[in-house]
Parts: sequence; structure tokens; C-alpha cells
Amino acid sequence: MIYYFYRVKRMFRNRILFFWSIIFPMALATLFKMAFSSVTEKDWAFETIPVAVAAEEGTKPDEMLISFLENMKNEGTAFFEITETDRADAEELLRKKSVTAVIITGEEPVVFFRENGLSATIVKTVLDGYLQSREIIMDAAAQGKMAEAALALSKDVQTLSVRTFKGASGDPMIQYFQALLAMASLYGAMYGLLNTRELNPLQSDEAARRVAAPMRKVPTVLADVAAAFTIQYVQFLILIAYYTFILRINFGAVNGWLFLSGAVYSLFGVLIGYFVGSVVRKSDNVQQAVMMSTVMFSCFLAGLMMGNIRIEIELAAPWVNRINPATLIANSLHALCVMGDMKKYAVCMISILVWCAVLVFGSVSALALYQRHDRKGAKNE
Amino acid sequence: METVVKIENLVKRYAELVAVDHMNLSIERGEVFGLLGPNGSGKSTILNCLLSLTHFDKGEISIFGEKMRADNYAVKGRIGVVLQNVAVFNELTVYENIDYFCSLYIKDKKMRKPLVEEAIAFVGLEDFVKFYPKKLSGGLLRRLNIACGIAHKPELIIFDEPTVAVDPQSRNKILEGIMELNRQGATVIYTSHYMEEVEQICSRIAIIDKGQTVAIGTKEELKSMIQTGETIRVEIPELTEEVLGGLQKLSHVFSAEYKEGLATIKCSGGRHNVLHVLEYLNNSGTSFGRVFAEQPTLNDVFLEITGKELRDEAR
Repeated sequence: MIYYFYRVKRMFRNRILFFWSIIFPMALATLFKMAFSSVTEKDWAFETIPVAVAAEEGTKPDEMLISFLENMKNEGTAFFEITETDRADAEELLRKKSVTAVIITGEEPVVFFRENGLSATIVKTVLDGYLQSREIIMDAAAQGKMAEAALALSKDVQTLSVRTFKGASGDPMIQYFQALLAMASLYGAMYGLLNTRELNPLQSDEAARRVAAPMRKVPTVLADVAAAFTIQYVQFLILIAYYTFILRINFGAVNGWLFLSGAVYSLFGVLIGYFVGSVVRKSDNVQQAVMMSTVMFSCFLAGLMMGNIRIEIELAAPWVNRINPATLIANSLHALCVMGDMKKYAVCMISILVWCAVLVFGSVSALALYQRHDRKGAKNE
Repeated sequence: METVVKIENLVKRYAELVAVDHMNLSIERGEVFGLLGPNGSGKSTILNCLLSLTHFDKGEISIFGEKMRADNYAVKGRIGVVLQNVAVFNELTVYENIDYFCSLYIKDKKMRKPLVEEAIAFVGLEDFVKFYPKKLSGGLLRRLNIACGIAHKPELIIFDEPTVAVDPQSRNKILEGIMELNRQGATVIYTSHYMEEVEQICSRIAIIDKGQTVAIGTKEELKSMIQTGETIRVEIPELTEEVLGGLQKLSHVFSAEYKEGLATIKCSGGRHNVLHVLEYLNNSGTSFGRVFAEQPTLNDVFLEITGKELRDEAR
């Protein structure tokens, strides 16, 4: 325990780590808030979303979709204000910002957005729901099971309506803060990296002193991980509190799951640091550069610098969003707090846990490999 | 006498480089044992092997009669280490650093407290307990480094070049401290490339070169291994070949050289060598200036055995 406490104390007093893992995300969030405040306040109240629907050239308008969209209501207010037109006009309306989205119907309907945000998310979700429903009906019709299809469809529509509004944050800029929180979580890698430096006696004198002492390896490593996790998790909670109570950012439905998620994100960040420290056996500066560039690139792909990049990636290479650490964190936050989509949330969290397992396995394997290398005397000191 | 450290046939390679080459060494309880050699001679590698910080290719190391392995925690608990570089944490105060490193050996806080305080007093850091390492001077940092290694009262203490980049005052304090620890019963292994320090404090010395022990013994024994008993240097503005030849023929003189106004005459023992040399120069009508006479140093030992200067490589 004494070992754990000293570790926590050391990490807490490390000004450089403290700056990067908490002050920097706080400062960035404050700047985001200042920059976005006018936009966010305007969009918080729910308003009917103007959508243009056009048929793909050579096809008939999808009347079923148009009817489906027109009939969607929230407490008596229509979800969508539909403008039926041709593709060129629809695109012109989108360009003039007269509509939020353009749906081009056809065999595979396509949706275009003017900008990312809650409205875009609602359109996309509703369209996905419609396509799923259509699939169910067509399958059922082919198999002569319309009754089962009707039941499945009714359940799906209910889920859809709950999913769209449960605790939803109407802040279209929330994705920046989600990406920021992902960045802050991944900065836990700095603590993991610091820990690995003190594992290898040939890498640092502090490690040499520790290894020369009668300390068992496993409890020592566990205490290190626990200390890094503690600091990172406390910082995550501080950030959430700062965002919620000081910056008044509407995260949406903040509940116990968010705090559990924070613990997983913190561990994830710390393990990334362990992995970089175990695999990249170079100087401190090289390790730090690798770690920081990895984290920042991951955050870039998650939309920290460009809000709609996640959607672009989803359209071009969706597998990137399934494996990118920062996107997984941001998506899980979005699913949990904005969409209330527990299925998507669970998928993201499982992906993160799989990542954690891969990182542990990778780190242990790399350490074992280097140790064997050293034993063979093939390593240059 | 009890053997504390026994190294047998130790071999450590780094790829093609043989860092330690079939080394044998035995260190007895109560000794201050010096490992002297130029940088890159293998001293630190020997210590790394000794502490199980690195694997070795061949041989065996026993400490306190037990085979040394990375998981021999009982033996590790009886060893203290003071590394060449200051290995302390900048985020902890002087007191916390010593307490932290002591806690790696002694878990009980009550037992640890007096030991930490004693270590602080031993190195004279009482006025700095709440200071962070960044606020300490180089000499004070070195003392903190030592306190971290000795607080748990180890029976065997390994000092790896503890005085590198230290001012003379702190260096003396450190050397006195090491002698005091030895008087209190600790066996000390001291590595350095500063021969004066090794001569000053070590009871036995092993001279290391290219991972091998080239000579081992007390300083007197080492000096007696070489031909040089005394080196005389005389400032002579002009020296003829004839006079230089005459100097070389004097009894006990086995070499005489003249270079840039300085004659260096090496004698193989005997008494009154300086007198004989100066008498000869007077009789030959050679005028001379200042005269220096030196007893052989460990550098002379190293030079004669290996054919190269310890001092040149070290500094």
C-alpha cells in the first residue's frame, strides 16, 4: 500500500503530466465553449427539421418513405418538414441552408447533411430505422410471415422513438466535447508510459534501484497500474464536473454508466501507455513522441479538430471507427448520453475492453520478448 | 573470513562485444573492495550482473553463500545500491525519497522511521528534509542518492562511481561516509575510475580492463607487481644523448626518457635514487631546475600491465 500511495503522490505532483492530462483538456474545453456558445444555445430547443427528399434519376419517388417521415411526430410536433423535389433542387436547398438534410431515394437511399449535429443524427437514425423496417417487411412478405413482421416493426418503431429523445442533448457541438473527453482519457497513456520506464533497470536508474530491491514483480506492476488508474480516473471525474458544473455543457443523460465508462476509458488510456513503453524501446523522447502522435491522430479521427470527420470516415472506411480508440470512446459517450442507444454503447464498450485485452497481451509479450533477447545477450545496452 | 561475494567464470556479452570475460572474484566480509578500470572496462556490467539487473551468459554469482538470482529476495534485502546517476524522484521530498526507497526493503512504517532519520543524519541532510531534489545542489543530491541506498542498513553496499561530477568538499564527505559505513560493519564494493579515491579508501582492489581482472590485491601488492618503484622527473633545459645514456646506466634505473625539457627516470626500487640522479647530473655539468619524485600509482600499475594509461581513458 505504501508503494501505491507514493506512486499516486508522485503522479499527482508531476506538473507536466498534470498539465497535459487535466489543465490542457480544461483549457481546450473552455475555449471550445467560448467559441461555440452562441451556436449551442440556439440549437438546444427541439425544432422541426427541414428535409428535402428527391428521387434518384430514373426512379420513382419513395412514397412510403415520404409518408413515414411526414407521420413522425414528437408530442404533436412534426419531426420533419418534407420538401419533395428533384436532386438538383434539393442540393441547392441544402447549399442555401434551407434544409438540414437531403435524402436521395432509390434502391439504396443516401442522405447528405449540411452540418453535423443532433438534427443530422435524428435524420440518420430515422432513415436507418426505416430501411431496417422495409427490410423486415420485404423478407416477411417473401416468406409469408406478415404478422411476425408487424410485431417486430412495432417494437422497432417504439425503440426508435425512445432512442431519439431519451435524455438527449441538443447541443450540436457536443461531439467536440466527447472527442475532448476521449483525448483526456487517452492522455492516461502518459501515466502508463511513465510506469514502464520504471520497470526496466536498463532504461532508468530508478528502475534499477527498484529491481535491485526485494520487490516481487506482479504486485509492483499492479500497484503501478492501480496508481495510474486512480489518478486518471479522478481526473476524468474532475473533467466531467468541470464540463457539467462550470462550463454548463449539456452532456445529456449523465448516469452511473458514465462513471463506469470513465473507469474503463481511464484503464484504456493507461494501458496504451504501457503498450507504447513496452514495444517502443527507445529514448524517453521518442516514446513520448510516439505516444502523443498516436493519441492526437486517434483524436483527430474522432473529430477533435473536424467535427464531421467521424461521419466521413463512417461513409468511406467504417472499420476505422470500429477500432480507433478515441472514436470508440466518443461513440460510446454519444450512444450513452445523447442517443440512449445501449446496444451501440455496449458494442463500443466491448470493443474498448477487447482493445484493453490486446494491449495487455501485447505489452506482456513485448516485455517477455525483450527479456529473452537480453538473456541471449543480443541486445545493445 | 566469510566470503560475501563470489563470482566464478562470469561471462556477459552484448552481441559481439564481450563485456565481462570469464571473471573470477571473491570479496570478504568487512572489506572495502575497489573495482578500478577505465570507462567501458566492464565495471558497471559486473555490478548489473551482481544485482541481477541483467542476465549473464555464463558463470555463477553467489552472495552471502547463496546463488544470486532475480527472485532471491532474501539476499536482495541485505544489499544496498548507490548508483552512478542520481536515482531519486523529483516529485518527492528528501524525506519521502529516502522513506520510499527504504520501504522497498522495510514495510513496517514504525521500523522504517528511525532508519530514515538515521540515514538523513548520516549524510547531513537534516536541514533539507522538506526540499525537493531540484532545489538541492549537486553535492547534496549525491548525498541524498547515498541515503536512499543505505537507509535500510544493508550488509553489502555497492557504490557505482558515487563521486562523479562532485565538488572536492562533497567528495571528501562521501568518502568519509563510506569509510564510516565500513567501520559500522558493512562490506563495500566501490567502483571508480578515479584511482586516488580507490587508493584512499579500498582495502583491496581489482583492476579491470576489457571485462577481465588484470590484477588484484591490496594497493601495496599491486604496486609491488610492477617494476617501477619510483618515478623521478627533472626539468633540464638541455640534455645530451651521452648524459641520458649515463642516467640509464645508473643502478636501479630501468628507463630514462627526455622530452620537451623534462627527463623522466624510472627506478625499480632501491634507496636514495633522487640523490644518485642529481649527483650524476651535477658531475656531468648538466644544469637542472625543479625535481619531482613520485611513488608508483595505480595508473603506473595499469600502464605496465595493460600498456595504456588509466588516467587518459578515464578523464
